[in-house]
Amino acid sequence: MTSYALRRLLIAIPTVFLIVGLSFVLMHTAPGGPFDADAALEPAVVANLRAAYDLDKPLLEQFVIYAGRAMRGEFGPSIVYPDRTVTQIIATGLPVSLRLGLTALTLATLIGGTLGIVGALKRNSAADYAVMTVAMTGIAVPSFVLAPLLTLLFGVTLRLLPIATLEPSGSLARTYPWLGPYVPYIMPVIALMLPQVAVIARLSRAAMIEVLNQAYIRTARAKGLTENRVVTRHALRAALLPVVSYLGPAVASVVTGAVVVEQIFQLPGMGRFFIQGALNRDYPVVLGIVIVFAGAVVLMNLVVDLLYGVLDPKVRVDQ
Amino acid sequence: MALLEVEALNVRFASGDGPIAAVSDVSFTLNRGECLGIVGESGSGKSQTFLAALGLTASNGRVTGRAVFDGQDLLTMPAPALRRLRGDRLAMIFQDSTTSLTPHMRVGKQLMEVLMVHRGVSAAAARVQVLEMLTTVRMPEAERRFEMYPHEFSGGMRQRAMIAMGLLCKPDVLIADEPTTALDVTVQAQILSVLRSYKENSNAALVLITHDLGVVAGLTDRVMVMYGGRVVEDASTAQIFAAPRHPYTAALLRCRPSLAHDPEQDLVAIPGAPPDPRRLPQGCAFGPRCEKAVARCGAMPHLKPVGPAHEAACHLAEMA
Repeated sequence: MTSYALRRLLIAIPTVFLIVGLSFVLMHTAPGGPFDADAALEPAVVANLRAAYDLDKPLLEQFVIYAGRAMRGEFGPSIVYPDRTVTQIIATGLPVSLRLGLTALTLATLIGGTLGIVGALKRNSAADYAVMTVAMTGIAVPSFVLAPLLTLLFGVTLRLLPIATLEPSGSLARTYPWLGPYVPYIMPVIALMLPQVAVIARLSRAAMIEVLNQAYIRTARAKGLTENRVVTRHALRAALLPVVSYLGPAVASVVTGAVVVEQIFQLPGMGRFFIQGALNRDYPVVLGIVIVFAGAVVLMNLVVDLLYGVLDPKVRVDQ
Repeated sequence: MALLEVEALNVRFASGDGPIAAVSDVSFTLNRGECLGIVGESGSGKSQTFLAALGLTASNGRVTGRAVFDGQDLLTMPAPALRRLRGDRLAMIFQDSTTSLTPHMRVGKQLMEVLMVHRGVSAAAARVQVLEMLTTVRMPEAERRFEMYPHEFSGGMRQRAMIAMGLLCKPDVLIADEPTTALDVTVQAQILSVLRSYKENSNAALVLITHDLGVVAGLTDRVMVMYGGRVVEDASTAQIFAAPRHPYTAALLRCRPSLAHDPEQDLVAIPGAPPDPRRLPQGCAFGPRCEKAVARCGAMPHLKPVGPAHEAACHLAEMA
């Protein structure tokens, strides 16, 4: 198992390298540069600045220089905000993004999985229809539509939660002060989570329905097991497999969703730095964040593969 | 008194294009120490009859009639009571053990579960009994197999594990649904000998659902032939082979290849295909394929005595 994980991590290095290379080319082919933001500078000044950041060299050479430094862990300073290094920016943004993304993904898996399984077990009942309605809504309403609606309802009308600030304002935080650090995340997490809840509920419902039709479920019932035991011991694991394999792509969509959600709720996460960086053509910031995002997706896919082995003895590795 | 008495059992499934009549008006009795063979083609209702008695009919199915086991009607008793009988006094083992064992649970654990649920024994005690049973069904290297998953077993070993599962609680009725299908002939013989020895060493009743007449001849005392969801003939095994009264039974027997068969000649097959249970023909379901069919066969024939302990559902058998 350990050697398998190590092998997978080694394979991930060229993957990340390729992603960074592609992002590098895309960023540099986009028109404009880091120095044409506001006031027009003297051409000579711009030329000097470009030389200072090696931007006058051929693209390939720039990439080799960048990759070499990145491999030593030097992501350099931001071009637009030279007093901050990319590492510092990531260090401030990552905890916020991790808190948001991991909470959304964990809750989406738990809530979506539970809803889907309840739907499957009470098939064609009122509960099932309710689950499917939630799922359809979640799929139909994207985060960027849901986020302003949540803000309008809980922020503006009910004044329950803070709007676009990390300050613990709103009546909920006043009534329960211990909730303070968490309240700013409530709406972003809901907005980010709902589409994933929808997908996971549909996946787990379909999987559970299929598993319950398997011959081995009939065997388990023929043994005289309680329905509870049939579901938890014999059906659940197989029903969770599609959900687990979705977690890889889910991380990717949570990452992209977070970029939007952080922007709307003004959370100082990596998504916001990413957008600012992209608009400013702040190449090192964008590439640094791309490496972190790519790493997260690659890592999650590895976790999914390892979990698969735990859940399904047929794909267990190293035995 | 009969151990299991099934009366006017009907199983209907709801489907997109009308109800499916899987089992129609099936009645029979099963006594202690008896081995009953149920013979018929796929879809003739043989498995559905017993699944219905055990309350294992799929959720879109509706079951009517009576199935009295030891004085209690299985079809009307509360679900928890029926659940306690299943796997304990009434055991059913299934065909195709590839899909009938839970793929992600160790085989030993799947067997231990039966004892832990019905006997309330500890895991350690269950383990000992399961290992004993695995040895009884002649599982090679039982200790090692105990820790393995179903996909690491051969087909024969899976079927043995399945039978061990059925025998763990020493059931009064053991229903074996195609226990030897898809197994090598040598493995078939071993499996059948395990079943035979259980039958001989206990006072239980054994039901053998199969389409293999060879298996029936070797093990059963009595045979019930099913066609289109109905029982068409019910007689002692000897009678069925020596003097079948229903044309379908006779046709089935003619289809058996024998060693005396001239290899130059084609094997005999019953013309036509088994009936679609959604569109059963009027009257005798076998009518359209029967070479002896007459006008009267358009009216449903009922199971009537045609000899001592011999019943058939055929107008021609009645007249003879």
